[in-house]
Amino acid sequence: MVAKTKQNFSSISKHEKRNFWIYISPWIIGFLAFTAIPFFSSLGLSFMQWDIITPPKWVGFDNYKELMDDKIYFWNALRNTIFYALVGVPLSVTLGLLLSILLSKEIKGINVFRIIFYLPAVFGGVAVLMLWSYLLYPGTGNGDAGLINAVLGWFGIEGPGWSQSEFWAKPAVILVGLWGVGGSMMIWLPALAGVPKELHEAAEIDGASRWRKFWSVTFPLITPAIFFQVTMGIIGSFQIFMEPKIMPGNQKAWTDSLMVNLFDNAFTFYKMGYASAIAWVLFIMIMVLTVINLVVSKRWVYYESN
Amino acid sequence: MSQTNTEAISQVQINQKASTRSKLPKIILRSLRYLVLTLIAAALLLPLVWTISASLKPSSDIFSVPIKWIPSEFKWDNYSRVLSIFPMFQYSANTLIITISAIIGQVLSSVCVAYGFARFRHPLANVIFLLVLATMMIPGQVTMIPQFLMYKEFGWVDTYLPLIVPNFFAAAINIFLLRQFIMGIPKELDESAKMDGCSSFGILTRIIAPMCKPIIITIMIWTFNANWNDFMGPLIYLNDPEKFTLQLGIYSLNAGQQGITDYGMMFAATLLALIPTLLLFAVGQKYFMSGIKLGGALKG
Repeated sequence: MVAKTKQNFSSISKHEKRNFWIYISPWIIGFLAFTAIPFFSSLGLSFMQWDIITPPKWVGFDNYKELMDDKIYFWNALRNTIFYALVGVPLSVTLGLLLSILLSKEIKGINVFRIIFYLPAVFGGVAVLMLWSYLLYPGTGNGDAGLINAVLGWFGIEGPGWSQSEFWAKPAVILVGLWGVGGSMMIWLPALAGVPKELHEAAEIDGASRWRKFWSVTFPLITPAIFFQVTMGIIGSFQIFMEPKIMPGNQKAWTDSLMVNLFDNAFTFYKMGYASAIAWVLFIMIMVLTVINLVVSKRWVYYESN
Repeated sequence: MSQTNTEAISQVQINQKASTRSKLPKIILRSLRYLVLTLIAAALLLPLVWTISASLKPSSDIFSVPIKWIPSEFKWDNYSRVLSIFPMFQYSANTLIITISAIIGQVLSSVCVAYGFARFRHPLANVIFLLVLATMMIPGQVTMIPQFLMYKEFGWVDTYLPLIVPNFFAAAINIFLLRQFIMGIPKELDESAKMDGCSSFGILTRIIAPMCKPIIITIMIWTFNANWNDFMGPLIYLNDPEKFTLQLGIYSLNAGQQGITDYGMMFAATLLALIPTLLLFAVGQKYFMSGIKLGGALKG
């Protein structure tokens, strides 16, 4: 096998090899300039103290030590970030899957529903987050409120204080993302369509209930999609920035994520070394979680090839 | 013999029983499905309806409970007020310059690089392709600070260059998608073109690129969305309000309104900012849906 590939390689003409480099050169240049060099520079920077104006100073592990001692900003932001991951990811994965199951049957008019469910995911950016800060306006208690608390009132529920309350400020941030959860049908619908009809029919003949059919037939076959969504969800929630930046709690500390912390240090206080240390802590955490995810996935994710 | 017959008959009976048992609830289940779908659709659309109604109300009515869905008085001037203090068209034009340049850059560079990976052999090709995929794992914040320092060195801060130029160096996900697609195009097409005297670049522009159209459109939509809605990039690099993008403009309008309660105008501004995306979705909805199938390919 190895010998054969080697033989193949030797048959590749110089011309072909040269063309390979020419065509992929945009990526090579971009990789060096925007990924590889910045990647290692930021590692280096994380061991320095630098405010951009005065020359950088090597400080060893001081930035990391300072981080570990920073209960007010770093640990608080880390706690908030973990909250977004632990609460937000299971919610969005479960809701996205449930909605997609509803949308998966090819019944009349299903495309209209698919478009409507998808629509909120199309909207992104600042405008939507501002919109949600109004929707979640808790009111002053004198017959005024945003849409959400007004609707909760229809059911006799007194709406929470959202961004005004230490407990509800983080759920408010998560809720905004859930509006766009229909966007995940991009992954779920093809996964659900990939479950062979014959398997369902066979299960039906065996008298399996709907519930049983889902857990024994559908679920194992869509585990690759679930794994993909969970992995991307965790990575995304560790990088959450816009939501807490644009709709912060009454006190920033209630909602600040690690990314907000990083941004403030880098571009408000110009503590480039310290901010790079945060970036690396964040990066290592994401890597470790992704690797754990990959290892654990071998136990529950089903791939047809095995 | 008779034994098997009765068995067969009872089997049929069971089957019939099963089918009648499942047939009756099927109608109920189906209407239940429609009911649930309609309720969720209504819940998802309610925020938009509320916003549209709010954008036409006097500020004092916006947060009133019970909700006044139809404004007591239509305040069309909420919109004209936005346009008078908020350079909507300027900001949209700025954003469009960045977005269109980014789209051009991504499409040209990704098609070129993907063609290189799909059609030319090299002993290192697989290793480099793995490297391409590995870069997808590196989150942006790790490279963000050195990139900022580099652009600052170039004198690119407060220009659009940091937001545009990186797009000319092919994003990994686009390379991946296009490479898979190009590998599915029969090589005989390349070879017959070569016979006709077509250069490798000619094959790319005349044969491969036109066939990649569906993927290219998906990449265009993704690039549009990423750049049109980008917030952190403009927030880091743009200082001059004249150069603001729509997102940054809306953000600073909101920040500047702190304490002032012209909510009607803020709602109008919010809606205006959403219109371009809505238009794109209306026109390109087919391709958003074709993106759905790509989602399946991604996992494989």
